[in-house]
Amino acid sequence: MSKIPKVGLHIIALLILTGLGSFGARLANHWRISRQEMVPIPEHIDVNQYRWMGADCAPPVGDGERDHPIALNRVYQLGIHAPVFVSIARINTLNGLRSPASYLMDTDGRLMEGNRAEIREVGKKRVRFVMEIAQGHDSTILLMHWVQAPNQPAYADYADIPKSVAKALLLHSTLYSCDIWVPLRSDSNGAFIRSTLVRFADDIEAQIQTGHLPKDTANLLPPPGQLNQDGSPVNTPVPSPAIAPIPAPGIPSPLSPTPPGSSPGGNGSSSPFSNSPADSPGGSPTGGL
Amino acid sequence: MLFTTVLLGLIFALPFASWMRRYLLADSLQFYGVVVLPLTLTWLWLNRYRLMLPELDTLMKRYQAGRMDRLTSAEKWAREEREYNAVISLLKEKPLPPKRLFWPLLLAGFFTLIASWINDPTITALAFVFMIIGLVGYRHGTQALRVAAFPLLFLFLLVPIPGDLLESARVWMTGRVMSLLLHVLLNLGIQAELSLQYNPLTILATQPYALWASQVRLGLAPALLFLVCNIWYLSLIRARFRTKFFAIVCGMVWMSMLMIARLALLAWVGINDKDMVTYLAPATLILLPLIGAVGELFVLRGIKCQKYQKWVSI
Repeated sequence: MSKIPKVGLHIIALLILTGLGSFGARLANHWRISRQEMVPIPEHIDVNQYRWMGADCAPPVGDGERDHPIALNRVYQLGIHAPVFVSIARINTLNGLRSPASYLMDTDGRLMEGNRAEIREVGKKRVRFVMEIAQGHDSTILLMHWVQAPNQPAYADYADIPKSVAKALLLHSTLYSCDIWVPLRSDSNGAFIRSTLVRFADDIEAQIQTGHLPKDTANLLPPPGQLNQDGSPVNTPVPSPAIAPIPAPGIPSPLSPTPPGSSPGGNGSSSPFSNSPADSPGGSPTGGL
Repeated sequence: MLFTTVLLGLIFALPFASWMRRYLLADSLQFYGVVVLPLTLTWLWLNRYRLMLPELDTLMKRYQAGRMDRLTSAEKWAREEREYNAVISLLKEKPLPPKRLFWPLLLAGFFTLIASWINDPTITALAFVFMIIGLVGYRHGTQALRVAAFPLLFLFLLVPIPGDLLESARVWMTGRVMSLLLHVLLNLGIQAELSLQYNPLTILATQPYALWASQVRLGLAPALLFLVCNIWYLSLIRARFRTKFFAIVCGMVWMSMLMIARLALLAWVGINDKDMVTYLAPATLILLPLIGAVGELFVLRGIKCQKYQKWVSI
């Protein structure tokens, strides 16, 4: 046998082996990912005496920016209030870890500097959620973002859990990238939206961590017969008018920048969000903002 | 060859779809990725005779050693042509067997397995390029690797860049273009200001007009496409490196001027008729690389950079 055919045979043999191996690896990858259970998001989430009813919705506008992950996308609505969008996506590629502004908004979307608040658990350093304002060319949103592995607490920054991230990317173990956001309008009530988002985040975090909603949620539910058609309770109290609304895009936001070294969020009174007692939704595991 | 190509196609067909998705994202800077593979294949076809004789460089070097030092460039050129013909006749002899590299191919195969498991577009694209390099190195030897260095390195442009890196580059470039546009508009007497640091650019008129970067498309993607095509074309041209470098810089400056002129035009139109901008923006975007190419051809003509490499057969 001459030299060249031998070389050719080597190449073909190696390519066939690689091809079979790649096919096997893909099957294993698919099997591994299909075994990951998507966390069930509650059908409705109750914030104080409001019941937000959920429905499936389309993925965020820039979902391709994070390689179209397997995700659970839901929109929660309550009467005339701006809807709350929830997206819980499984991180399987590097782009799954991107900044939320890149996939929640249009291509002009970005996080507004100086409008970031970190939400911590009382007395702990761990930042659970991050709340930010993002602006694109046709909308402005208030968002909350965190990453979380099943049965683990939430972390705002994936850099805080390098092991879980490495496992998710290399071994395809489950890691969720969670986002909750509300489109801001000129008449949006800032404190109401913030407390609602925090309550959503608390519930979803608990759902991922323990597999069920916080116990105190049940106590807050109004009797089933007393709900309006839109899901809001009958004679529900109107949110406090004393709370400043979030202004329209371009106007300085009430979310003041986080002072360096301070511990905003959580129960701390230093939080730029804790400007009113009405900000605190009762029953939140964090005690609210 | 055919069998190898089919096998490669089978292994990388699915990942290729994921790379394409990345290139074709809205306003993606990596749109140029779409043309990389066709351009590489075209390069290989145009240089097919050179690639068939990878030993030519070594033979030429050996033959010319110590003879060319004291000659002028014109004499060197003439001598090179004669000796080149002599070397070709030497090649009629049976060439030495190429020095083959097996380990890179084996490593590339192993890396492909890992990439298939991880299934990240960036990693699978890297595996593809390494596999091609490994195949060339084993099938044709080290000299062929040297001769095919350009297309092999060019293939790295296929690799989808991770989103965050690409985003940082986009933000930086958008900032530069917008601030340049602001200066141009102010010099033209159009009052404007940059909102939110760099985007949008607001034209202050009776009815203010906000020029959002991705709504009008700055033209960064066509500009990068033009740059990639320019580099590819210059690789076929017979000229010194510094001449080619000068041509690339001229091309980039020319393209930047076109981009700014286009945006200034859109800004001016936007003050008077916002709806017109929605039609004008995509139309002018398509024209951008075409006009850029025409201008670049004039530049190449001006610096006498038009002669193809000896082995390019068109």
